[in-house]
Amino acid sequence: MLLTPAGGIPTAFASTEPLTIECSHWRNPVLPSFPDVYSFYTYDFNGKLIDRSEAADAFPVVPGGGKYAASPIADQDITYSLSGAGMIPSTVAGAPAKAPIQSLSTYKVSIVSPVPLEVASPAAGAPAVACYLEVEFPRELTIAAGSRAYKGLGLLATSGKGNSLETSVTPVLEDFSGPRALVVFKGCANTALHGQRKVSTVLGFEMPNIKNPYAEQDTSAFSIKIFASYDVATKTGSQEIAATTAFVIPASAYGSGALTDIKVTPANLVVQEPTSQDWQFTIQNEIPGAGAAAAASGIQAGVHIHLPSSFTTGNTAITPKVTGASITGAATATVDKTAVYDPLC
Amino acid sequence: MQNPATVQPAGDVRITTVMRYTTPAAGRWYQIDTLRAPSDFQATVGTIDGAKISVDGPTTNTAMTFAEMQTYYFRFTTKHAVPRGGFVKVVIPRAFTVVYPSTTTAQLQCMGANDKVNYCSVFATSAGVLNLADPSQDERPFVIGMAKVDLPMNTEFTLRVAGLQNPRYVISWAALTKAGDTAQLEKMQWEVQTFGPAAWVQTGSTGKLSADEQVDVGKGGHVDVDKPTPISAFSAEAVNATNGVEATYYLTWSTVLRTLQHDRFYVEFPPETELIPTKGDALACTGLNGFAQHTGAVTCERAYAPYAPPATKPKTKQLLIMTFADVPT
Repeated sequence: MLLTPAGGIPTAFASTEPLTIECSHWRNPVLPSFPDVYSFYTYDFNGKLIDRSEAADAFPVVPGGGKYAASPIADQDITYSLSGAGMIPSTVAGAPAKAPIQSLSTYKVSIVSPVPLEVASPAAGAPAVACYLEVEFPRELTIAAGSRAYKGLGLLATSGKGNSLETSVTPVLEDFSGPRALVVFKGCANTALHGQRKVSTVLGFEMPNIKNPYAEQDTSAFSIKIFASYDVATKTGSQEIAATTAFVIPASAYGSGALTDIKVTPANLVVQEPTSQDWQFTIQNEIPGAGAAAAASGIQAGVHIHLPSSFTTGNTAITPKVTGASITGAATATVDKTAVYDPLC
Repeated sequence: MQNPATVQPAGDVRITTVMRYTTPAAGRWYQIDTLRAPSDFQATVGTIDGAKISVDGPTTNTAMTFAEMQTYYFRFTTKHAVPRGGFVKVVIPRAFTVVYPSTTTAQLQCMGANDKVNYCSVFATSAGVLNLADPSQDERPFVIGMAKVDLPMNTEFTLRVAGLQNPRYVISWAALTKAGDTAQLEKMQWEVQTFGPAAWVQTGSTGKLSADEQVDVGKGGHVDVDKPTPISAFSAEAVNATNGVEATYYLTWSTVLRTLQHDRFYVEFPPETELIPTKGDALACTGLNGFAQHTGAVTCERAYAPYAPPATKPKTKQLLIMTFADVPT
């Protein structure tokens, strides 16, 4: 590319005088590992070579000596849907149904890659081309054990043409028992897409048998990355192309359960009398984190009871006595007389 | 836990099971299951100890006071607290009469045991408060005071109830107890009920205390009326003074208490006389002055055994029983 400063070239430069030229609207390389060495030449008015850069003069593209960063995948470029048994209709018109907490759902996630991705060529001897989608699930989602039928979407599909591809796929890596719950898909290998004039940059997956969060809450951030290559043995990707930043599935996607059969049995029914009360109810969903496992799991559970305001507690501390088929450990209780109703206390 | 202040059904209860992650730092709680539902909890009325209820009245309880205003001091000990704005209702046996409700209302006081401070303001701004003719409220007389301060639990209070008329007849707790007449004993007892501040339900110009806001109830105390009212004048005159003949007698009397329909008048004749048993028109009574002037206004008969008052034990042949109908007001 020939660069000519606006306003023309000064009549003369000192031989060692630094020269700065600003070049806008350049597109960074798709692969961060693109060689960060530029060639630099100067010519005279007649196009005669004056100087050229040497290999040793290669300079970093990113100021400060850094490397290219993976392109961020914006949240609006990610779509998801949950399906499965027991979906709870939303009370908001037009809103999708909610997935019941603690139930198994099928997650369908699609990502629009912020940069174009190369697809493999069917030509003999063509260089191997692939992209990898690494998905690390947040801790709120539990991946049920056992095999499952995955589907690849878009560039993760293995065959077909068009913008709505969907085929069965087998991930190159599944690891749901390690410190990171990982699944890695290989994509961009559908040679049928090679040479197509318009190719969608969507890649996605459908994955069943994912246990929804214990409670109606936002998940932590997913970590979804697109790599140009991936070492399954070390569970490490390289040539990172794009990555999510803070994609979560919001609490609105999940529906909590309903208690039933609330019953109170007081020891004394007479007005104003101090008494003990047994509150009984039936839970729909598991209360996680009971007993010694709570510390290990990092989960704390509780029961919040908002009593009618006509009850008072006096100055005596409440000593709860909790019984249940699978409850272990001692329970504690606190009383907040100033509390107003808040479903989450 | 302390049960609600009144028997008003406790409201909804909401129970939520929650969880949170505690690592790397304790986060906020999230909902697992929840339900808001009626608690179905309704406390029951407390019982004021009847042994701590008493009624003190005039130095001498006498039916002579029937025509006069009478003042009684009703004492009771609270079982549970009555909050400020709550109500104390004293239900008076039906034998007593509230002659002038306004007088009773004006003189109602609610005092502590050892002082003269009036802790109650009379809740009588409308006629409905003491609408004794309204059977939906209470067919017995009652007075209602509203607590001006919190009335603590287990504390003795005295209500001054004025403007009452004693029963028209002699009543004796001891005699009824001896006779085992539990029904009458029950009717002799005074009653106190306490309510929370939200108890008053106004309907038009009247109102009543809602049972849903009741706190305590207790029965106890009684008033003996042990002195009958003397008949102020009585005379008997035989038309025929000849001995041994059948004669007509003129009986004349006056009373302090007004005679009411179906009252009975017992006249014990001297033992030398003998009433001829009712047979045909042999024994008949006719009202002359102060009675309706028609047949049946006064009926009479010679007493038979069940009517004979056991205390006096007159010979039935000398005891005349008269019954009055259509007594003029």
